[in-house]
Amino acid sequence: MNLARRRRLAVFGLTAPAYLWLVLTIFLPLSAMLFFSFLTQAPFGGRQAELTLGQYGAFLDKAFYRTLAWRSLELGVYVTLGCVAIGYPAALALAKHVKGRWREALFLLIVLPFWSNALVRTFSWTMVLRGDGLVDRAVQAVFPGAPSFALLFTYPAIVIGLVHAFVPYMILTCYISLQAIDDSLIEAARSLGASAWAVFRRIILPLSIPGLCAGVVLIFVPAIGSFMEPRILGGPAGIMLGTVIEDQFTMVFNWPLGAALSFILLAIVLAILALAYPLLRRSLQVA
Amino acid sequence: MRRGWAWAINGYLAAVLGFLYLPIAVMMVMAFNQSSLYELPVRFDTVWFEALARNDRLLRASLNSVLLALANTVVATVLGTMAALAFARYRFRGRALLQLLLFPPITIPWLIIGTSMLVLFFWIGIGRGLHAMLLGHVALSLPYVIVVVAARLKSFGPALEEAAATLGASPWQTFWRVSAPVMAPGVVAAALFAFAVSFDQFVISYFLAAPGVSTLPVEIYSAIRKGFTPEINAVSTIIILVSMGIMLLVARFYRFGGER
Amino acid sequence: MSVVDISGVSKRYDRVVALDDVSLTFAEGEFFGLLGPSGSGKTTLLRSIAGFVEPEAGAIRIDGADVRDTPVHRRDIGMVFQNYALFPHMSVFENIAFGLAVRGVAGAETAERVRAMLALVRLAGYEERRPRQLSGGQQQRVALARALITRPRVLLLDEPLGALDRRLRQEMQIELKSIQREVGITTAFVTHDQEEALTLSDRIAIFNEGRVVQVGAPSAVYERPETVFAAGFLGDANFFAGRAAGRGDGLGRVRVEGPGALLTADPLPADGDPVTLAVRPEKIALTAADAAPAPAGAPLNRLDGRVVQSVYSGNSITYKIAVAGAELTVFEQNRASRPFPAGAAVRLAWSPEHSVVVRP
Repeated sequence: MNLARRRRLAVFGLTAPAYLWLVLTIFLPLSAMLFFSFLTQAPFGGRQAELTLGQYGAFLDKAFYRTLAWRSLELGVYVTLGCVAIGYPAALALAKHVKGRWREALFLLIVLPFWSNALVRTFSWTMVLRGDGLVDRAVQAVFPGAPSFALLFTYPAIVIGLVHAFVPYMILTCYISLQAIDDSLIEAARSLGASAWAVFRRIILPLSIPGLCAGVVLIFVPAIGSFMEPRILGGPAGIMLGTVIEDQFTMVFNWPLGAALSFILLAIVLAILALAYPLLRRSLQVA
Repeated sequence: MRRGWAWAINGYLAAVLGFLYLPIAVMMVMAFNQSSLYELPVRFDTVWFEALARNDRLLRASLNSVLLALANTVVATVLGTMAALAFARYRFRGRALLQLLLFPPITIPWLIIGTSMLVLFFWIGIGRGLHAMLLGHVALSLPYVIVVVAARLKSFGPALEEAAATLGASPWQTFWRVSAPVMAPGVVAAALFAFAVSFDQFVISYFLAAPGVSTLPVEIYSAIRKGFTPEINAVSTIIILVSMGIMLLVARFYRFGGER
Repeated sequence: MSVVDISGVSKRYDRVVALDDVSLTFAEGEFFGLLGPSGSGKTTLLRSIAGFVEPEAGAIRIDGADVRDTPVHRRDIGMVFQNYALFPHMSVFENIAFGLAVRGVAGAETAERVRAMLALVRLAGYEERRPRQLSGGQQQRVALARALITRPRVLLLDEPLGALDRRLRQEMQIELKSIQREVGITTAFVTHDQEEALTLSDRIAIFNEGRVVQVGAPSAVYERPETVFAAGFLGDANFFAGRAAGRGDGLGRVRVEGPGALLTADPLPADGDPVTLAVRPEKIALTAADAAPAPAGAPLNRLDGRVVQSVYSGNSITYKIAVAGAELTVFEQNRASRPFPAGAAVRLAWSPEHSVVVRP
């Protein structure tokens, strides 16, 4: 049928360029890196490389790497919890308390820093947290003579920096879910005798779970793979799986090991996504 | 809600906003502070901005960032809009799969995407540099462009294009006279988005930067690692103001643009 | 030769049969109604004529030519969509002129024809308005003008009055019909509103589950429905299920449990075979049970009953009457000043001509 074939041609022509680009820049590289993770060394400069499971073996053998993975997961959990604790109430306030033009304005204000340069944002935290930085001086102003409150180059600094970077994500996803809750549901519940707490527990919270889950996934995944924030804010205390992977590629030049570690990280990410997929399926439509 | 509650909630929101903007505000203040060593009280001075104007390295990196972002905007917007048209206007098998394939670029940690690009590009001879960074930036921008434009197209439904067809307009005429003007606000928003994604991109650029050729965020990173030059405050202030300005424009076009 | 010839058209979407072997023809200048419940296939058929849907079987011919390989924009049709689909970024003038603009018609001629169209739909002076500044009825008229300006062969209307409120609907129905008569264009329109179909159509096709159940002029389809579905969908009907029991005096007899034997003027199947009769509520006359019996005349179906409910609608009253073995709906014009109250004993009577034999 002429018309049907024309339609198929149109769809192909419209989607092929974009998807070819994605294949070249995302899927092929991932395959290449997967291949590399099974090599003994990078096959450049005339060196011979053989297939091995050794790189993955290194992860299982050396306790160092396992601790690293654990630390990264732990960091992810802290950051996510922080984002939930700060972000969910803010989203709730925005969705149900603030009305009218203020709501859009506030929403925009909250999301704006998120879309600015991550590096610059992280860098600006160094000035707040360093010895002699804003926090330190503020503490000194209130309690003169107190010991230096330098948070920079400590683990909490990393958590603060990452929470700051990702909390708008949480507010965004939770806000979308919460705002979709029809006010008439809440009114019906109140008319049936439910207290404000009961309304929250039985109606608002369950209906906002998809947004919460989306936020958790969107935050946990990048958090466990972060390397820039841990380096800048954590210094020596900021050794994570992400920073070690970065090292393999930029300093140590052990690309196969870096590749293997990356795939282990990717496996963890995919496992999390697979767990969350059923909860998120409906919100994932494009058109 | 009782009065006390309302105040507490407003206070909480103000605190959250304060938390979000605190470091940015500090950095901007310091950019104008005469002291290079961070001393208070703040003495207003534009010395660091002047130093920035003489810092060739940073200026070149800025130019690279802007050019790269412009190239990224054009490529990603064209490719992404085409794909969005397919999603929003046609029913086809494999649609769910294609939608699923849009998620890896945004859900896989940039660290992995960046390093794997480095591996492949090095291996097959594409190498590093601005061209490699362009490949990466477009890949990251595509999902956002597609989602934004598809949403705009969906809000109008196919009825307008069908009406144009019944009135005798060929597909080409329909596109230029009806689809394009109606979709314009969405496309503009997506383009601005793509610009911001590229301009602010650090991780991918970091791994694909060639010696001597880098973008602004990458330069800032190495400057931070080596030692603190106060020009960084100045350039960071500029970057943040530009990024936030672009996103404000996006919001304007995406939400309030057009007839709806 | 008919203007549009649809023969044996079928279409499925996955497991759902949207159209099942549909055959219809539209004659020159005819106002043809496609009536049916949601999902019955009427819109699918309309969109097949337009070219948005490709049938899997069968053929659609416009002026004798098969349009299978003709893309939408080359079929000589005009279409008005349910939500009008006016181009939001163009003025009323530009919307109406669109069909001429894409054909490269010169400016002066375009302006003249647009003005003529605006006069036809009584919107002269609205050239520079934007669609969002117009009311629903006005948008509908612009959509109609836009579709008609290119003088297409066929006009297709997809639930054109669906978005309007009741009063406006009735006004627009009259206007639509008069414009169609004036222009003389062959028109097919889709509706689920049976009153609208009856008012506007020269002929109606009733759809159910992808099939055409009955085709004919409104009065023919209404007075003589062929199936239970047609009788029940176009108007209301009381149904009696019974068995054929021979003929007498030129009338057929149907034995029904409860009421006994009912008379019909229609032909019957063999004795003992199942028969279903349909009687329209307005064909049944009510008299008080204690009134004097009517003088003997032509044989009538008579039943005794008791009023269960009476609903007063101003110019009419709808009764629910309990008779032996059934509850009937009776519809009376409000001629008496006091309607029968609930519980009143009444006599029902209707002519055998109004007992219609229908297929299940």
